[in-house]
Formats: sequence, structure tokens, C-alpha cells
Amino acid sequence: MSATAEGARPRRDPSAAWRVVDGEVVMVLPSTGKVHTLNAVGTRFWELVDGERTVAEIAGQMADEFDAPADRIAADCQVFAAELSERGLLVW
Amino acid sequence: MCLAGLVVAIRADDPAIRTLMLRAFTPFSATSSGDPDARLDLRFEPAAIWIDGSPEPRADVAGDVIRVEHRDFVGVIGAEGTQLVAVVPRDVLSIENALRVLYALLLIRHDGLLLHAAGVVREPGATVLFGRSGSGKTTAARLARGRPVLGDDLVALRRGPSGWCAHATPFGGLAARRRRARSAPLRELFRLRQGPAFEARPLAAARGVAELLQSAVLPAALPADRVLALERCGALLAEVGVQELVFPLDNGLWRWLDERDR
Repeated sequence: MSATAEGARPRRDPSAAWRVVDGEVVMVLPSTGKVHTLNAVGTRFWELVDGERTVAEIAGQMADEFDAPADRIAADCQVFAAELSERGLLVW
Repeated sequence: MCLAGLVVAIRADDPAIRTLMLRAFTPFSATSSGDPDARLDLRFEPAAIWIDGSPEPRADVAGDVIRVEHRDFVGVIGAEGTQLVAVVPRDVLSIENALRVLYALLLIRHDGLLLHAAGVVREPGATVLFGRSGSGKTTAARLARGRPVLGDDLVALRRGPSGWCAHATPFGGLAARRRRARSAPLRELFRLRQGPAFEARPLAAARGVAELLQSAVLPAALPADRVLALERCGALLAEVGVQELVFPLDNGLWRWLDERDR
């Protein structure tokens, strides 16, 4: 299922190693072993991915938390979810 | 053999390999009556079976074992990482590579980390300068004239009862194998970067952990090892700190660090 499919509830790939360091995620990509960091916004998205929320629901919560325009956050979350999927970090 | 307090019992079926081992790794040899932390079984193979030209080993998990292929040895490691059976030619570098893989796995499982780094004893402890190839590790170690060098490419870090220690390794060719097996409390960790002028600055926490992790030796791409490595790097950041050290390629590096401390 694609990241843009409505109703999809992504989960984190359980083989991805990650931890939050001072409010930012440091993670190792399962496929390549490369190390990436997420900024505070990316970290919050990652934390909210739990297999139970849709991307739209995550975006809605983030729009509230960051006091940002909902449509812009929703678009950014879709793009980010697609990027994470391409890197094998999200399971749908 | 003993490195960072971890003992590996080595067995070789080939007398020539035994002789090579004894001569090459004398400073790190150890006799121990207790159980070793791991075992290395070296089996001689004269044929040219080595086809992988990449500098880093490839490791795949197959059932209960990790299969390692390197440019000059092949091996099988039990999933718990405590026994490596390696097929090697009569070549010290191949044996060194097998040892490096085994010790990287051992360290990560015993509160430690094998790091691509230069380590220099600068009382009251060790200064460890890490970074990827070309960052200046070898140059920095070479500039440390008169100071004990723990490594110019690979340094073992391990947390003991009184904190983190940096340990010399015999990995990196003849000069490394002749090095004394010394250790020192880990005083500071710098991510090396070459630049126009000396400067040391703290790294943001997440970036510090990410940079450390990128310089850690993780020979087998096992998710559990990556989690352990993340924990180790997080602990190093919290307990020792990680800074970025910009340095120009000249002789003043260690003098500059000394003056900075005054």
C-alpha cells in the first residue's frame, strides 16, 4: 500500500535501529546501514507512527502540537512518509 | 590474545599460521587459565578463494550463524558472536582481519565499541580522534611525537567500573602490531575535520551520536548489534561528550590541544 493511500496505518520497520537523543532521532537504515538524524518535526512524526494512526491522523495531531496550518502539515507528512517508505523504514 | 580486557583463545591447525600468530601479535598475547570470551579457529586454505575486493567485510545471517566474507578470508561466526571459524591463507593481514571482525563483535556485546579513530595518550587520559577515511586520523597520530599512540586507525573503547577506557589495537599493519597493548582512561572524543585553523566546538547531541555511529566498526549488519551500537554511542556522548575538532595539516595539533587545556 502506498504512503498516500487513505486509511493506511504505517508502522516502523522493526529492524530499524533508532533512539531519541536530546529530542532528535538518530537511526540506522536497515537496508544500507547508513546513519540519519531527524529534526524535531521528523522525530515527532516518527514517534507518532504506531500502526494505529493514519498519516492524516498523525498530521492532524502534529498541526495541533506545532500550531501550524493543517493543509501544509498534511502535505509535508505525506511527502515524509513516502520518503521513509522508500528507505524501508515504514511498513504498511 | 587479549584486547581491551577481552580474551580470545586462538587455535590454528597449520604450524606456519601458529608461528605467524605468535610473532605478529606478541604485544597482545595473553595466557589465561579462565574461560576465554571468544574462540578463533584458524584453518589454512592455500587456494585463492578470496574474491571480494571491498575493504569492509560482508556479513550475512544464515540461520544460527553469521557468514563473513572478506577480501582475504571467509568465516562463520556463531550467532552469539563468541566463536569464529575462519579460513585464511598464511598471511598476517588476513589473520588480522579475522581478529578485527571478531573483536568488533565482541566489543559491541561487552560494553564496548571498535572505532575508526586515532588514539593518543595525553595525560591524564586518552584523546580519541575519530572520523572516516581521509579525515586525518593517521596524520594526527603521526604528529603525536613522543606521546604513546593507541592506534592510528582503530581504537577500542570499553566501559569499565571507573568509566570509559581507550585501548590500543594491533589492527592496521606492522606498526600497529608492534604497538604496546596499553590503555588509558578516555578523556575526550573529537570528530576530526580538516580546516584552515584550529577550532574545537561541541557537536549537537544527535549529530554527535550519528557521527560516532558512522565511525563504529559493525561488521555484521545485525539489527541487534545496531541497537547496541546506538546505546554505546549514546552513553559515550552522555558520559564523555563529543566535540568537533577542525585542524590544519601542520605540526601544531597536540601543542594547540595542550594550550587549550591550560
